[in-house]
Amino acid sequence: MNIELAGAPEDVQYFGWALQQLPEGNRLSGLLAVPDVLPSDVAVAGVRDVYGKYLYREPSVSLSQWRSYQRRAVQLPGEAPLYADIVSRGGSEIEAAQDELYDADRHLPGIIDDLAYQAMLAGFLGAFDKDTTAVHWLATLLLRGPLNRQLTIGSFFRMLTGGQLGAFESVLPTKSETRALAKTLFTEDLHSEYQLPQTIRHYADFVSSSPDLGEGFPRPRSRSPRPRPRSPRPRSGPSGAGNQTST
Amino acid sequence: VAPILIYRGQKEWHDGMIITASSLRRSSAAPDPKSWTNQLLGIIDNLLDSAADGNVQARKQLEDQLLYAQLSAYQNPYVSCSRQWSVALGFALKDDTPGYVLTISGDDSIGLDFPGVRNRFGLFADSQDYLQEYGIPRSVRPPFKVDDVYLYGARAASRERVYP
Repeated sequence: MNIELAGAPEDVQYFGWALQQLPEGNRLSGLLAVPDVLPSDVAVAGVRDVYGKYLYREPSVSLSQWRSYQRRAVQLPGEAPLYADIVSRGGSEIEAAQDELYDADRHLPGIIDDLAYQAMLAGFLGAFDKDTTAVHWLATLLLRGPLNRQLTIGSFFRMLTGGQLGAFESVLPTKSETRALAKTLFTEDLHSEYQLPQTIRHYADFVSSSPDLGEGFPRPRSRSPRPRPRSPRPRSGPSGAGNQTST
Repeated sequence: VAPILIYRGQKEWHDGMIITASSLRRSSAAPDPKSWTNQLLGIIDNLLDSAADGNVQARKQLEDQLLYAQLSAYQNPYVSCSRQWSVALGFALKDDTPGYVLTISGDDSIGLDFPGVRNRFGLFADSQDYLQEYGIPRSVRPPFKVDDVYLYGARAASRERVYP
């Protein structure tokens, strides 16, 4: 479900953007739009489920190949790819795609950048949840660029940390500023002004008061999905990729 | 004609250079970048019309489309410029290396004023409104023209006029 986000509190804007744009999050965004349909812990588990699919590929999950209406349905051979898969795959395949992966501003063929875009949105959800790996992925994507996206990731952290991180001296980040922020994200504990349950509640409050949900709007069914336990996740990969991008 | 003055930062420049939209240069996923670019422009034009007619769904799709255009180069059918010189300088000096800042003049009624459209329809901009982006469709060609070009040294330590 897509709800207008203009005018929403900042955390709601980023949260809603990520949840609504990720194919796996769209259904949950509809459920969250009705206050109190989901108990808080179920809603949190649902959000973890969403970003986990993009950052960790939890077992037995088959990601839908949906792309937004204006994007070409480009498929790589084999399983549904994730940005994390491509970075961690290594070997000759990654050598052939180095420019696409690490130099986004100069080489941008599309599909890998699509996946990086999804990874960024999933990273936002994970960062709200203080998920270290999600924050590390955002640092990796920050180093990769392109410049507009670096600006976006910087602004996200400026919001999340109440201005402690992510502010750039000029409008656009310089390379040294980007590196400094990425290093901080990799090495220091993140101070966050927001908690995931609180942001979920802000989102539900904002969306349920949205005029878009007027008479006749198909309300989501109130049946709650079964919460999935948070499974243990591999903690390797992104930091190595981050080192490679910083050259 | 509504005159407009905008700026663009880039890493390369030569006299006579044809400056094109990123969707024309970076769309190897699309077999025909030209028609892909036309398609993108058509989508945005249709969304603008429908949003102006009060179509809520179109307004939301327009919000997404503008974000995609600014965050994924191959989705951007415009030559990215900015109303702010400092933004263009930021792009020129990206990676702390030298770059060119172009001053471009043209007709405001032809391009897409990203923050203007967002203000008009009340759209979420993420951080992108800092860019004050103005998009020239397809390529820089009349009524748009490059007025002057300056080469800036890394960290803006030097400045040299290279055109005209």
